[in-house]
Amino acid sequence: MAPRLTTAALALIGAAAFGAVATAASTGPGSPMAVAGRAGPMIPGFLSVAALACLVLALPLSEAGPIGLALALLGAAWLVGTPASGAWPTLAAVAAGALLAVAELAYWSLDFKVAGKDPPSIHVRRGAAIAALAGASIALALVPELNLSLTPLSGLELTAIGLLGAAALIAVAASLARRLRLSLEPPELHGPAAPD
Amino acid sequence: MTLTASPKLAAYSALGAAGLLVALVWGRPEAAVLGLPFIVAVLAGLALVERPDIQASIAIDRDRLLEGDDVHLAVTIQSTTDVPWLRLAWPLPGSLAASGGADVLGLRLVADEPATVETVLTTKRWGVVPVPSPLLRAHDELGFFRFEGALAERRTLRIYPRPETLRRALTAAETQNFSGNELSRVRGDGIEFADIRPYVAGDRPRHVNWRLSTRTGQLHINQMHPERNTDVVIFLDLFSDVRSGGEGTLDYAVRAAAGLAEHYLARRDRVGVIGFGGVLRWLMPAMGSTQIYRIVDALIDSEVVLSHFWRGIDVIPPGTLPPKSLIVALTTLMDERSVDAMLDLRARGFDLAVVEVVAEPFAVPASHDAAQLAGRIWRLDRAATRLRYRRLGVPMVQWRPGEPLQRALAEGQLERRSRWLHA
Repeated sequence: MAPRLTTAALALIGAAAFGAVATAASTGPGSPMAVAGRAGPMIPGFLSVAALACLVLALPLSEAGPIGLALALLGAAWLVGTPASGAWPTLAAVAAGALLAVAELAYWSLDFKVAGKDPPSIHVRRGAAIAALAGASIALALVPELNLSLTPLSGLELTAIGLLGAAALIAVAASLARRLRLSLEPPELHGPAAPD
Repeated sequence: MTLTASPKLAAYSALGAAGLLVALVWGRPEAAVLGLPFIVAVLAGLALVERPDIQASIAIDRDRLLEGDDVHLAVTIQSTTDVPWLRLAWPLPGSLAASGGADVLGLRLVADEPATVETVLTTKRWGVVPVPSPLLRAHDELGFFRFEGALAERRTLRIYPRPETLRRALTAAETQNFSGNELSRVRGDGIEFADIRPYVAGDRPRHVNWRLSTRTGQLHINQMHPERNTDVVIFLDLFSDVRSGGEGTLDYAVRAAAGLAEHYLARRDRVGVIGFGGVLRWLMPAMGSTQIYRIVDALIDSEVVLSHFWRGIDVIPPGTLPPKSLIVALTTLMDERSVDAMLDLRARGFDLAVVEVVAEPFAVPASHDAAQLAGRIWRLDRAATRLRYRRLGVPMVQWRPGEPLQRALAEGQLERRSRWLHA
C-alpha cells in the first residue's frame, strides 16, 4: 500500500478510536456530560465526528489547516467526555500520546503529497521516531498526573507552578529559536562550477 | 537552501498553548496533559533541527543522443550533517520522460558519506534541452522543517531527430556537374545506355556499336547517360506547428527532413536547408559527411517563432537556392506566407515538390456546432490550397504522421514521372 494511504488510514483509525473512547466515557458516571442527561454523550460524539470529517477533508486534499482543527476537536471531545475522577485523569497521558501519534501520522501523510520512490528504511526510521516521541510524551505527561494525585496543591501554589512552568517553557523556546537562527545560515548548496 | 516551517509547527504550538490555557481557565489538568506532548514535540523538533550543508554534482553518460535513446543521470550528494529524508525531484521538460521509475526519489544521507542516486531518462522529442536540475527537499528528523533548493546545472542535451528510413526519395528533374548517383538526362560518359547515333570524327572507338555498324555498313556510336549529383534544398515551413498529446507536425517534419538529408547526402548530392518562418534559418547546400551533422544541428534548433511580418522568398540568401535544384518542401499548408512562398518558388522555375505533413490528426475535434462548422470550412480551405498547387503543376503528397514517409515519397515520385511524360 502506498505510504500516503497507509499513514492517512492509520491516522483516521486512530482518530476514530480516540473519539470512540471519549464518547463511550461520556456515558459513564462522573462525566461532565452526565448533567445533560441522555443527550450528554452526543456532544463528544459530535465533536469526534466533526474531527473525523476534518481529517477526511484534509488528508485527500493535502490541506494542513483542518488537521489542527481536528486535533483540537478530539482534545475537546476527550475533555468534555471523560470524568475528572478515577483512573481517567491518569489515562489522559496515554490519550495525549495517542493524539500526538494521530497528529504525526496525519502530517506525515501530507509529506507524501508528491509521490516518489523512497527506500523503506526512511519510513521505518520515521515511524520509530514517531513511536519514540509518543512514548516519551506519555512518560512526561504522566509526571504531572502522578504528582497531582499524590500531592494536591492549593490554587495559589498551582498557579505559581504554572507561571514558573510557562516562564521556563518560554525561555527554552527562546533559546532554541536563537540556536535555530544561528545555525540556519544562508544557502550552502553547492553544484558544479559554471563553465567559463 | 530555503528553510520552510511545516504547518505542523504552528499547529502543535497552538495546541500546546491551548491545552495549558484551558487547564488554567477550566481547572482541568487533563487539558495541560493533552497539550504537553505537542509542546515536547515542538521543543524536540527545535532542538534536533540542523541546516544540511549539501554538496551535489550531476554526471551524465552522454550529451548527444537520438530520439528514443536513454540518458543515465547520476547525482552524487554529500552533506556534512545527517539528513534523515532527502527527496530529489527532476522537473522534466516535455522532451524527456523518466523511464522505469519515478522522477521523485528519496534517500537518507549520513554525514560526510556520499550517496549516489541514478535515474534513467528517455528522450521523447528532438531538441536542445537543459540537463534537468534536480530539486532537493530535505526534511528534518521530526518533520517540522523543510530545506528546499535546486542544483544549478548549465549543461545541455542535444537530442537529434531519429531520421525516417528511406530507400528511395524524390529524384530531381535536373542534375548538376559533379558525379553522383543520379542518372542525367544529358548524354555523355556513363554506364546507362541512352541512344545510338552515326559516327562523327573525334568519337572514341570504344563507343562504336559494332553489331549495328556491321549490319548497316556505317559506323554507329553508343551514347550513354552520365551519373551526376543533384542539389536538394529542404524547405521547412516553420510558420506553424499543430500540436496535440505531446506531438506535433513540426516533430514529424524535422524527422522527415533529417531522413531526406541523410538519404541525399549518401547519394553524393548537395543538400541545404531553409527554415522558413518567423525567424529565417538557412544552410548552404554542400555535400559530404560533415554536412549531415551541420544539418541535424541546425534542425534541432527549429522552432516556431510567432511573427505577423509578411515574409517572401526574397529574404532567402541567393546562394541557398542553386539553379536546377530540387526543393522538397515540408509544410502543413497552414500559413499563407509559406504557401505563397512555395508558389513563388514554383513560378521562378524551381523544381518544387511539396510533402504536406497532414495536420488534421493533431486538430482536436470540437463538439459544438459552430466549431464543427469552422472545422469543415478549414478542411475545405486546405483542400482548395492543395488544388491550387496541383493546377500549377506542383507535385504534392500528403504524409500522415505514423505512416512511412517512403510511401508518400513513392506516390510523389509517380506523380512527378507522369508529369514529365506529359511534358
